[in-house]
Amino acid sequence: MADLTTRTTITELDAHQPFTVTAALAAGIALGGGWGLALDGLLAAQLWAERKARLHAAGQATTRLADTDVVADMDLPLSTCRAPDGRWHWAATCAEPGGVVDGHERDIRYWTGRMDDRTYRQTTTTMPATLPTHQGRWRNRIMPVIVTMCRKVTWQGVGDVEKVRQILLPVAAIGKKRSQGEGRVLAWHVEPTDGDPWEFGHLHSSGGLGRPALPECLADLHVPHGGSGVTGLRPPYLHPSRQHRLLLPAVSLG
Amino acid sequence: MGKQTGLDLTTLQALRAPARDLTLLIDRIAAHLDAHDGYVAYSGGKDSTVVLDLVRRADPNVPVCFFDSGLEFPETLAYIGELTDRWNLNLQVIPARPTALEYLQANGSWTHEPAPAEATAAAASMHKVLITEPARRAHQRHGDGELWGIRAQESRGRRIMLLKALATAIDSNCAGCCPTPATRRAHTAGQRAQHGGAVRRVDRTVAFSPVWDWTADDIYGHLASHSVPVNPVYNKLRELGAPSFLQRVSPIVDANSLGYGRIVWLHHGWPDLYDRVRSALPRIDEFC
Repeated sequence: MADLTTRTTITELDAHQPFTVTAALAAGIALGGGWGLALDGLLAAQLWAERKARLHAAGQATTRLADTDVVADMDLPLSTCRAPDGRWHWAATCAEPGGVVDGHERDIRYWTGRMDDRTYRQTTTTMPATLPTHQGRWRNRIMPVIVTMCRKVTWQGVGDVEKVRQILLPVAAIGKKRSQGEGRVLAWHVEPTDGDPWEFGHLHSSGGLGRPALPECLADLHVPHGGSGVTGLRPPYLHPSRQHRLLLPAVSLG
Repeated sequence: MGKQTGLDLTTLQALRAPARDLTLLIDRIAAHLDAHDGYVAYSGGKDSTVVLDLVRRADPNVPVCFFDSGLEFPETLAYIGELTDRWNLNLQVIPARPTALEYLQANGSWTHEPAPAEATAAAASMHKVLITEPARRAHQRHGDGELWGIRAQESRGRRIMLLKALATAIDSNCAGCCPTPATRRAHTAGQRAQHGGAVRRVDRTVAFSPVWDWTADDIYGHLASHSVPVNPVYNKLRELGAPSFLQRVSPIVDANSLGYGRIVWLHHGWPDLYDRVRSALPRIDEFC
């Protein structure tokens, strides 16, 4: 794991180098909101899914994230960027959409959900006399899903290109509602490139801030960003221990 | 949804012929204030903005009470500040205690743990925290009268409440002053205009909504034709693609419309605000 805190350490420590990742998409990507999908989150999720499958196959139970106070970091093949106070993040950006059809950047679709009474009865030994479906946890839903209409999404990062490629190749779909056909990936392209490691670890190709970043990351640099807010610094992004006041990416996909 | 092309809807709305007798409405507002004193309950939403615009024509110094839930869109707070300067309003902010977020956190239904039984029973009192209790304080300060911006079209419950109030008002106050309805009709347009919109509560307070029978188009038409600025939250939600019934300004989270994607629009339009709410209410993720 190389450290990006100073721009000169990256190539001196190991084989990490700047790279770009492009996912060619069949029909856009459904995102939850805010900015694009984080590459480090995608890699961590893939590694965690593999590890969890191995543990479960060996008969070992895993604890759900909400019940885990201290979360271990996955060993991602990415460099890191560390602040003097010890906080750090992986050197990789969030997805930047490309090949967007002008005038049709977003599509709004709807999905519906109703409680499956038969499944519910099979998963519990006790049932309340009535289960409200107009309120509470089991309420019926008619929910929008917002799809960014684009032919590809691109990330930048610094790390071990071959390992990143190996992790991503099995990923068939990204984003939300994958089981309904959203975010289907046609091909992955992971290419090493020349460039400033700091920029590849923080910025979109357009020059704006490409990931939530510590204020120390930008220091006195004039980089367009989306202001300040409390959000996740590194995977698992939603865990309370990962929440910090950070500078937000320049481009919102909302 | 892409680039804006075509006709300007605001301009078109302003061209709508005025469907209401504003002079009569303003006279009724003045009479309501004379009889009951009181205040305007103002949320920053489109309906209460129309009411505020009408009331200030009847009495420019009327107290304008904003019940701050603590979970307001930043744009709403800025908008109310700008409108206060523009119209020189007698604005009074009445904060909810506890705030909406404190209430929801204490409720227990928004964590990943099973909700305590008492939380379900307490859920109905969020209305009390955000509306009833601040309104009680406002009535203490300003009298029994209230001017608010509810409309019959908003929900079945409001329609029933307002129609029952109209029937009561006609029975007790309409002694030949208005045209009588034809057979099998409950009331006439004249009776609605002259007697509708006033709700008398058991605590003796009297709330009057001058826009009680207006449609959403009437509301937007009035705002456009009188050049009244609209809370920018509406435009942002509309541009995001939120359906009209989810274009609401306050509070940003409660138990309503969660199953219709209300939180999805919050997440897409205000990602940092969403993250802050999520840190306090972890289960909000389930509605994205």
